[in-house]
Amino acid sequence: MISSSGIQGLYLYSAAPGTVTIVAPIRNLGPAVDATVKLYVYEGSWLPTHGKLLAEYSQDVHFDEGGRKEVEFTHAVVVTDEARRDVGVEVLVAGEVQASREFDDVYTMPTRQGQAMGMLMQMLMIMPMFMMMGMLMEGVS
Amino acid sequence: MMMVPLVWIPLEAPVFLPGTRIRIWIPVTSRCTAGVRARVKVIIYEGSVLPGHGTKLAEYHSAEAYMSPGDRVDFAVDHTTVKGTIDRRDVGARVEYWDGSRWVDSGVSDEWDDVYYVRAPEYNFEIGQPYVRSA
Repeated sequence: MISSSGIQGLYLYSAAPGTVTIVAPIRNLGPAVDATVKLYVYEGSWLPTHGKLLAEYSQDVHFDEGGRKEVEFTHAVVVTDEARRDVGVEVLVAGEVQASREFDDVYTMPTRQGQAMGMLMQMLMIMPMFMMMGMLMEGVS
Repeated sequence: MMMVPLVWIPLEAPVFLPGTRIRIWIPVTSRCTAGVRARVKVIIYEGSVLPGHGTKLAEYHSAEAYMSPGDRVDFAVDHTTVKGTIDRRDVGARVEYWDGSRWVDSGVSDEWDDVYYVRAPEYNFEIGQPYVRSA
């Protein structure tokens, strides 16, 4: 399942706890160059800007002249009280930022409260099964 | 003794990246009445928007050459381009000759504006919408 957000936003990728791959498509419109691509994962926010920085990754990438690359980063998702995640991407050459962009709500994930509610719901669903099994066992004996 | 330094300046001066090894030629024609050992002192300056050159960046002596009357020699110096506060580079040249015991400034010198340019490469990246998939 692949996320689609922003203007095209039909649905967001909903990450489960574990690791995800965040892919940043980058096109080089200039000469061939060895660059560093940085990726920042932030909590989303209702405010115009992003929330807390959750993770930062860096990768050296060679771009051919006019080449396009999908730069992949493996990220261990972090559960917080905020479900939305923003992603920032920077391209640096020789330590100087040549391009940077930030994207809101690239993916979502369960919040702490959501996970707690989920566990409670599971327990409530399982409880009648145990009760029924107990009643059946009593009937057999 | 009279020497006329003439440098060939292209209509569109070449542009180099910083750190590029380049060779600068200074063509000199001897108007001397006798043969002479000559060389050229080449000075590279940053260009300037004001009249005159900017900061001096480097100074070199070319190899010497024996010039008969009427000879033309392309004296050359090698230089590694450096990034500066302005991209234009001016070049100055002074002709020196050997008087039998030492090198003497002939008094013939000239300076040329915007002989070449040094520009950092222009990068342009387009960052697309990131997407996420399960690892």
